[in-house]
Amino acid sequence: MLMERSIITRAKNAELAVEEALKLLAVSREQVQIEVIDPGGKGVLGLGARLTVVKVTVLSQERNSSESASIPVESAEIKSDEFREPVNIQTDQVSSPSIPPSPSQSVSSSSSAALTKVASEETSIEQGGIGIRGGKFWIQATGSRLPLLTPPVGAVLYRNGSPVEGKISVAPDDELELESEPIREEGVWKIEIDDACLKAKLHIRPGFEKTFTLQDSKLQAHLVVPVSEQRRFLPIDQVQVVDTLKELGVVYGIRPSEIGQACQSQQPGVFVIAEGTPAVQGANGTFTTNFETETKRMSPQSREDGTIDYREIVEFPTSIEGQVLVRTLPAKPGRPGRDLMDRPIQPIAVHSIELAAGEGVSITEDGRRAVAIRSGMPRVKQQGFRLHLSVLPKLSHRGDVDMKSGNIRFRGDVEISGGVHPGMKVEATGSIAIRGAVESATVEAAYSLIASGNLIHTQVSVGKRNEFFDQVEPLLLEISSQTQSLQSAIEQLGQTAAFKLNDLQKTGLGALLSVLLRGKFKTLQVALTRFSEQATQNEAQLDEEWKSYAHTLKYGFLDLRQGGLRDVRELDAFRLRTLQLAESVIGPEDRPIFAELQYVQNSHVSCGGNVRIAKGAYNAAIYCQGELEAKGTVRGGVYFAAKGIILKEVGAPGGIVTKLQVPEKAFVRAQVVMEGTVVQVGRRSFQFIEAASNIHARLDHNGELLLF
Amino acid sequence: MFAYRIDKTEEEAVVVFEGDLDIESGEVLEEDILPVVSEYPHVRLDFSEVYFVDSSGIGLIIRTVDELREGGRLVNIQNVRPEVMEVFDLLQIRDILGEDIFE
Repeated sequence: MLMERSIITRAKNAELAVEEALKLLAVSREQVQIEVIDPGGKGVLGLGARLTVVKVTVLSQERNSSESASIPVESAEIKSDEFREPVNIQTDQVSSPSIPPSPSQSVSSSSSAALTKVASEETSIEQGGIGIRGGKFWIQATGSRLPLLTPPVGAVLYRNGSPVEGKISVAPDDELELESEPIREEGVWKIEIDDACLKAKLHIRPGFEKTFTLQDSKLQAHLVVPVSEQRRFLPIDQVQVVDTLKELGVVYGIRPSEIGQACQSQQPGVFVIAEGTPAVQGANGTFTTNFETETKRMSPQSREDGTIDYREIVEFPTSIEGQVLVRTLPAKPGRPGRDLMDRPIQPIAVHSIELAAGEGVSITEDGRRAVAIRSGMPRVKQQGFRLHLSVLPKLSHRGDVDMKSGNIRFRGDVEISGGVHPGMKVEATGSIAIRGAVESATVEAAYSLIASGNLIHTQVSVGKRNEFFDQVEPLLLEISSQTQSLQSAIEQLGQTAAFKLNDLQKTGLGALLSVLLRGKFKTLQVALTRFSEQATQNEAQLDEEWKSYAHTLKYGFLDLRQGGLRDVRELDAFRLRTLQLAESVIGPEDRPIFAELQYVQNSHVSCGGNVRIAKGAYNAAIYCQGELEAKGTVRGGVYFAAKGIILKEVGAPGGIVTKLQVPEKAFVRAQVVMEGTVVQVGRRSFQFIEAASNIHARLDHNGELLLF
Repeated sequence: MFAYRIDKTEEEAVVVFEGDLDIESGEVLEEDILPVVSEYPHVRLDFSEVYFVDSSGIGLIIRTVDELREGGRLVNIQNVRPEVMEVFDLLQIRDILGEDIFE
């Protein structure tokens, strides 16, 4: 403990008192701090004069033991009889070990910090002091300055009846009293319910009743009042918590034991006092297909005569009668849960795969398998959880297509073992394969064309969808969604007080439809009318299914002389039929569009996908939306490919012009380019004046044409 | 039951309907009322006593208004009860006959 050496002396004036003190302490004036405790007084005519009192403290860095400190005091006693009395008294106080009485309670809010402070401020006791003895304040004001007091945290201290706030000075006659009544701090709690109503959390801060008692403390210039605190825990009322839960509507998943624990907790915390059961999620249905969905390339095969057929053979996917095309696994439904209010929580709805049978397909009774009812090319279209399946029939034509066989027009795939004679036409809604030569003919395939013979003076169109379907696809979607709105509008009308529905039974929906189609459903009217027009224009190529739909549409909505659709049931059936027809014409293309050709001369070919030419082309015009690749020589003509052109040899020496054209993002590659060949990429074009090899024409990032 | 009254002045004819405007009353409208009121430059159809309508009745009103307008007449529908107006609104009659029909 840091001990101060100090001494209090009295003399006629301050100067003499200090001198005396310095003598007694045996130090020089520079080593001390001087404090005048009482300046003294002259009195009248020498009577009643008071002596000046000074306190002289050695400014020392050294730590002195109490014994060593007392040495000069002892000697002072001996040397100066005159000052014995006052010096002795004061020394007693200063040199006594300043260990405060040990606190009786271990729980003490202001204990350690306050005690440290006490020790360091011990010097200024002579300005007055305040301490606590036996639970009572003890104030001494010996000098001109008053002792300071800081009230204890949490407890209430009264001075002369009013509570003390913050640091104050106290006078000896102040009455200080610590509030003896316990201070109650009630527990605080709230219940929080999450948005899903699955969890109720109880947040608590426990309550206590606190009683403070003063702790003894020695005299100090500034006393941070030490108190001991006794806490009595105030548990939270369980009944109130339970009642509040009830008020909040919580009736399910309550945990009484957790509520009990929370209410008895002496620590702040969060307790889950009720918990619902979340829903268990299910899984959607799945399906597997049981056939090749892609056109596959076969490896070269040996002919019967022993030679090898090096032409690549492309085979369309096929299915045979009775083949299971698709199997489905049903959805696994989830399990509903319960929320805190005992309301069911539905799991996210799951969907099974719904199979829809198109042409040539039948669905098993359980709805889980789709079976081909004829041989042909299977097609799958998926829209959400609906799978539309059909098998396009296949026509195998033996021999040539000529005047004897007539033109071929077929809904499905066509295979011709011979060639196609001048003036003839072959048209298929699927793919076409022709083994022989085609001359001065027209070939139109919706998906792909494989021509193993030469094409001469022939018009070829591949991948051009039926125009009628292109036109009606958006119409059908519009009609089906508008019909649904129409159904709900009618339902809404039926609920109004002033609207009578009896006439609908007598006359059908016609009268109502005519009003609705003029007002709220004008756009439906437009879509229906346009569909009807398209159907009339293309009547020749429509099958029974489409014709019957077009008839229902016309006499159900537009031509109301027969009363239109009978009732809402018919309206719903119409909507479902619209949706089914829409599904049969839309959806992702399930089969690739391409043309595989051998040799093309003076022919016009347009293709929605890639074009591959095995041998070469002469003076042809080819437009393709994919890539154009030719193995042999391309001499003369115009060639456009949206995704790029790859050629072996192009152009004719001094002959006709050959033009190769691609969009700006695409490229042209050719191993050999003859003079006169024109290459155009985007808007930049270049004509080769002399032959070149290994060209790779494309635009750089500045839009400049690069040739190599 | 359906009845009507026509209040005529020099300039306008006010047809006050009484009863339900439905498939049965429609004929009266077309055969009896239309020929009379088409003489007047301004025709008002008063719905204050119409409590129920059906789709045929509304269809006929629309046709009548169309016909009168074709003949260059000014036509208004007035005093429509709120419950009947609800039906008119659902059918968007304002859209079909123009915003000024209820003036």
